[in-house]
Amino acid sequence: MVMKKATVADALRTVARTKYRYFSILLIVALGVGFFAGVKASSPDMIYSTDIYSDRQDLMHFRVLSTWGFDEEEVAALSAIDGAVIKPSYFYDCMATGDSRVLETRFEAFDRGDAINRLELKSGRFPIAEDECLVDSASSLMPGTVITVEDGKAADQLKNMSFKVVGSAYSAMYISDYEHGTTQVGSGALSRIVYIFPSNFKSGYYTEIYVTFADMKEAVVYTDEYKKLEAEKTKLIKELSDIAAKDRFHRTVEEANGEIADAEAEIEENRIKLADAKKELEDAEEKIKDGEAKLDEAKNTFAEKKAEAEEAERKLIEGEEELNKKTEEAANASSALIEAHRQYDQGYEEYAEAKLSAERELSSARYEIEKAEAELSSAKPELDSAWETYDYMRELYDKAFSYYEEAENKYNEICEAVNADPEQKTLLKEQLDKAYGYFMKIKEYLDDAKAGLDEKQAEYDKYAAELSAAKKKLSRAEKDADKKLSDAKAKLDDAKAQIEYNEDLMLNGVQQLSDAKAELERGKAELESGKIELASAETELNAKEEELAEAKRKYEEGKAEYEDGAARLADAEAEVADAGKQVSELTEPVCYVFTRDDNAGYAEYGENAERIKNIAKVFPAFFILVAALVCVTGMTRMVEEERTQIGTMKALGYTTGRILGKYMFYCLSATVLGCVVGLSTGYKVFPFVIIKAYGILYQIRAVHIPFILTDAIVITAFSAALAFITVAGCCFKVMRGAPAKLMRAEAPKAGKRVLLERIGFIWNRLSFFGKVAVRNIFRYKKRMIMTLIGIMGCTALVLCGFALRDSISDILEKHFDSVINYDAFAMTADFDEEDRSKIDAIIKEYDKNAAEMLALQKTEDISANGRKYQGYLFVVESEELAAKMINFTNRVTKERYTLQKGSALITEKLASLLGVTVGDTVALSAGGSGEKSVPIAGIVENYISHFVYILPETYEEKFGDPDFNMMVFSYDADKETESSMMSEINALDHVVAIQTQTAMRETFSLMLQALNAVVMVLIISAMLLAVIVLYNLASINIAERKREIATLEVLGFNDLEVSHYIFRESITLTLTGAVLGLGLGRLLAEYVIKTAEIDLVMFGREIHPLNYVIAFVLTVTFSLLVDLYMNRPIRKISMVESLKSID
Amino acid sequence: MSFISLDRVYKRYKTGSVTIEAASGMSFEIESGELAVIVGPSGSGKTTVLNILGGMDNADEGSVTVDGENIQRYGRKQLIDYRRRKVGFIFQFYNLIPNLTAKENVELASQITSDYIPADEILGKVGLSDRKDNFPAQLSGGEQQRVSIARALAKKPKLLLCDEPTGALDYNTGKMILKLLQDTCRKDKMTVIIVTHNSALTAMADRVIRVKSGAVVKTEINKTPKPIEEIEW
Repeated sequence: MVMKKATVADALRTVARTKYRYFSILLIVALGVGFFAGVKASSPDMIYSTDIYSDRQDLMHFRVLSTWGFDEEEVAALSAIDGAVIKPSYFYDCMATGDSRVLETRFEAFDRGDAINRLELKSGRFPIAEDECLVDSASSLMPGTVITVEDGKAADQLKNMSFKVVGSAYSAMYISDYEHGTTQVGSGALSRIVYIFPSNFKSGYYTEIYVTFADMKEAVVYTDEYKKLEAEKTKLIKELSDIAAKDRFHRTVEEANGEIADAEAEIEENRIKLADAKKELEDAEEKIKDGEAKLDEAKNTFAEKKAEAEEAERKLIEGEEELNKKTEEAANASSALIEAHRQYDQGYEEYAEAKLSAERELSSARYEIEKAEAELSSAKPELDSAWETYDYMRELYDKAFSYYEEAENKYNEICEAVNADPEQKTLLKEQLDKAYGYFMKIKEYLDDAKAGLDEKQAEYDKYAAELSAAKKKLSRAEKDADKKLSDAKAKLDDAKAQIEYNEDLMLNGVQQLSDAKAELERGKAELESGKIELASAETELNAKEEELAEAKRKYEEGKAEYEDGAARLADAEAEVADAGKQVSELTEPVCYVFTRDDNAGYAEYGENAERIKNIAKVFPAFFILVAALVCVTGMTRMVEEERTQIGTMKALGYTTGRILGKYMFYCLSATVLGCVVGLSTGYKVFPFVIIKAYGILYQIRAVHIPFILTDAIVITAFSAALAFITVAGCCFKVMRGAPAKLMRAEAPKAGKRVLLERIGFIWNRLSFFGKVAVRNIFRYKKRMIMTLIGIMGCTALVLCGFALRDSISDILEKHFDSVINYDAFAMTADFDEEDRSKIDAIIKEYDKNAAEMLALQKTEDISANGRKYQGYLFVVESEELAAKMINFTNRVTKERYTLQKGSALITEKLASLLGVTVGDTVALSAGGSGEKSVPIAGIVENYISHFVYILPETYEEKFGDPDFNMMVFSYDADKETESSMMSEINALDHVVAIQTQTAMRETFSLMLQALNAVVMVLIISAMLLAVIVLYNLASINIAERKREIATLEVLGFNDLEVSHYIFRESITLTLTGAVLGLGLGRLLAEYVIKTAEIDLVMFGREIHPLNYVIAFVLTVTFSLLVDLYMNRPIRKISMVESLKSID
Repeated sequence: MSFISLDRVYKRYKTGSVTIEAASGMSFEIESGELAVIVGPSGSGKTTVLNILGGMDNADEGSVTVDGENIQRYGRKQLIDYRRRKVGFIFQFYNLIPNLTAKENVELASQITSDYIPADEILGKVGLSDRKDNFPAQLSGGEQQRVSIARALAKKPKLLLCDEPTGALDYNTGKMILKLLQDTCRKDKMTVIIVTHNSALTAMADRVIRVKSGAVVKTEINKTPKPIEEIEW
């Protein structure tokens, strides 16, 4: 299409005249195209940046692992692949402490000049010593901190057990600050990477091999080209490594078998030696036993002899003593004998003397007695005759006296007779008394005679008694004397005999004594010789004993040696047996080829790029749609305005093309300029913001935002084509009209009743201006739709933006406040009841209502419907405790679940990813015991990570005894209390690591800032969209209704009334559009939230009521601001316009 | 003093570097209740007079007295008030709001005043009772102009300003409209000013003001104005 000068000039003039409209078209195109291109480019730009970064750091294309590790030959096999760059390396995963936090740590070998996975220093310096290390860029460990390995087995793997941090480094391997991949230790998720020199690794084989290829480096990651290459090379590497591994297997088995055979031979040899040794030992033992017995015997003999000697000695001493005593006694006896002799002699003299005197005395006594005897015998007859006279007299007297007594008795009888004559009585009595007196004188006489007689008798008796006494005395004396003398004589004789005996005895004793003495002397001599003999025997005995002890020691030594040897032999045998078994059980090494897709951070970043791509599908559509609408209305209006001119030109004979050219120029130039502006800013701004935002999460150390000219040209051409169609469409109707008709003023669009007027109760309630507004709205349907879409889009985008932001912050609020009720957890190892009570005591000390629960948390593959995701299998201690710690509620139905035996509760995001619902089953692969499926009893609200909750009984039934590895706590404590509480718990032996929800919340809040930036981009763009649309609408409206406005002014409407009249419809549309936009925004937000969220996280699904208010108010405010701004052109309208004819 | 009095009124428009004097010392008077016709060719300044009298524009010099007030000195707000309360305006092209029915167009005016004639009454007066619910597009030119007149009268103005009221109408319809205006003047004692280029209309006027090149050429008082029926053009 050739444009003549005049046309161009005219077009430029038109542009100048309608610069607002031109500008609004330009701007909406810029915004639409910019947003479209920018957001669309974001995803590829994210990928380009990653590609550039990973190429710069030579990020591995493949990571090859083998169950056996790799030896040099295997490395060589892989090196042989054409174009491959190989880096055999080492890593070791274990728990390690740094800054008092025990984390799952990977010790990774590095070298500054690595050809693969080169590190980029973030802070500090590179290590120079072997015990220095770098930490990953996400680590908070400061240089100077020491990382200590907390793993007993690590000593076999690492030279040093502690490393000093000297800096931190970025690695393209670990771009995500929060996901470092999985490991076999701890919770199953790597938390820290520590880079150390390869020389630190002790293992005899490489633990991993990294591979890169030049052609893959050429290809852009995540692209099909890359994936195709990746698939090819994966196959190749897998094949080669499998072959190499198989070789190694055979080699190893052969070697091992050879070694085993050698070992067996050696064992056999040793066994024989051992048997010999045993025999020898037994002999020795026998000998020792003999020796011992003999020794014992000798000892006994010796002891006996010794005792004998001692006894002999004792006896000898005794004998000697006795001898001495006896000698003394003999001496004594001899002197006593002499004394006895002397005494005997003396005694004998005394005896002789006494005998003489006794005989004299006796003879004198005998004479006297004979004299007395004679005297007495002479006195006797005299006395006897006296006694005879007396007795006679006495007899007479007694007879006479008996007559007297008879008389007396007769007297008494008479006295007693009553009639007795008292004189007779007295006479009798006198006679009697006189008789009695005679008697008494006779008696007195008699008594005197008797007394003299008694005296003479007594004297006689006395002499007789004295005589018999003397006689007795004499005989006694005689006897005595005899006895005394005989006694003395006997004694003397005895003594004599004794003396003689003694003399004999003494003589005998002296003889004996000398004999004994001789004997004693002999005994002594004998004893001495015995003693000497004994001493030599003792010496001999000691020597023997020592000899035996030595033999015994030697024997013990030999025995120990033998036992040792036997044990070693047994060990060796066991070892060989074991080795044999191992060899027989040996399975071929399995090689695994991992690609970048298996790198958690990398895969996730790719997914994020994909997500942005998805978002890019929805949002830009809005902008493009609105931009097109703005163009269409703008151009339609313009063509309408200039219909007279078009008619004139047509009448003047201008070709359709030339007439059209002006509008084409107008619209196309606006579009192209808009594209230029939009593309040049949008291409840079949107990807930059988005990449930077993701930079909070991912350490992509390169930003590459290429301006892709071809794309830009395509977009511009497309936009231009659209503009062309728009213009052609708009002009088509007008162009067809005859010039005459065109030159005539087009009748204003006829007023029409609208549907609403039929609904009386609404219509009648509307104010006058309300009715006017409604009519006007429906009068320009195209514009109404454009406005509505614009406003709706704006509201929806704002709502979506805010909802996205809130749903992100909701993760924190809801997850940590309402879903997870525990405040911290400790990872534990070998935990027992004692530890539990310790922890219980600690937390109860701070908060007596605190509670704790044991749990088993393991990272597992959870699969269903052929999909597989990693999540946590979470075995709770018991339903009661779990109900306190975790809120098992369905988000939608608000149903509260209780954990049941035999079934699981799974988290919402996981359920939706797996596409499962209540009643379905999920398969768990816990700890390599194969897949076990568990029915789902409920789907619970959860925002961060995936969980499958089961009871220990369920676990036991499926996988065996649950080995609880963590403890969760709930308490009420401020931050300081919490930290002191945690450090106390952490100090316990079996507590490996501790994590508070407060800390997790902080980590996540940082993560979520990333998306806030995206949200701001959305909101700002939405605002721009609203402004442009409203501005465009308002300007068209005003332009079209200049006459109407002027008329109103002439009628005396004041400014406010005019504005009111004009903007009422825009306000009505704004309100309507905003309300509809809220609904649309809700749908959009739901889509975007689902699309934008990463697999591991579920965003808040509810849109806060406040967001509706904010979106609504913001949109309306913007609309009002635009209206307010548009008052100015209204004021500028001259009332004279009303007088003009319609042209 | 007359109801309307213009004294040496000047009005100049600047277009770029060119200044056009639309009114150069224009003076005339119109009495209350008169039907005045201001007549002159294109560019004579009659539209300027209309603008000034209608309160749409201020004169640059001179005084413009309407109903005893000098509106030349009026500010924007006073002018709005003046337009609202004192002036009824009738446009050559009726200037009805196309989106409103006849009745609604009338009501549009009454919306902004407190003292007004109900729409139905005034429409009856202009003979459009049965057409009041029609949209302007459904009405003939005359009918539209009658709606316009009704709209102007509804707010009980002191002065009815008519800009070529018959310009867009056919002969008979034009006559009908003029008749309505004349009747309004006579019956309601309304001061009516008709601005036209058609000299034939002068016959119906009480006062004829002839203008040319921004100045009044001649003011004639017509003692015996002709009824519309007798006027021919």
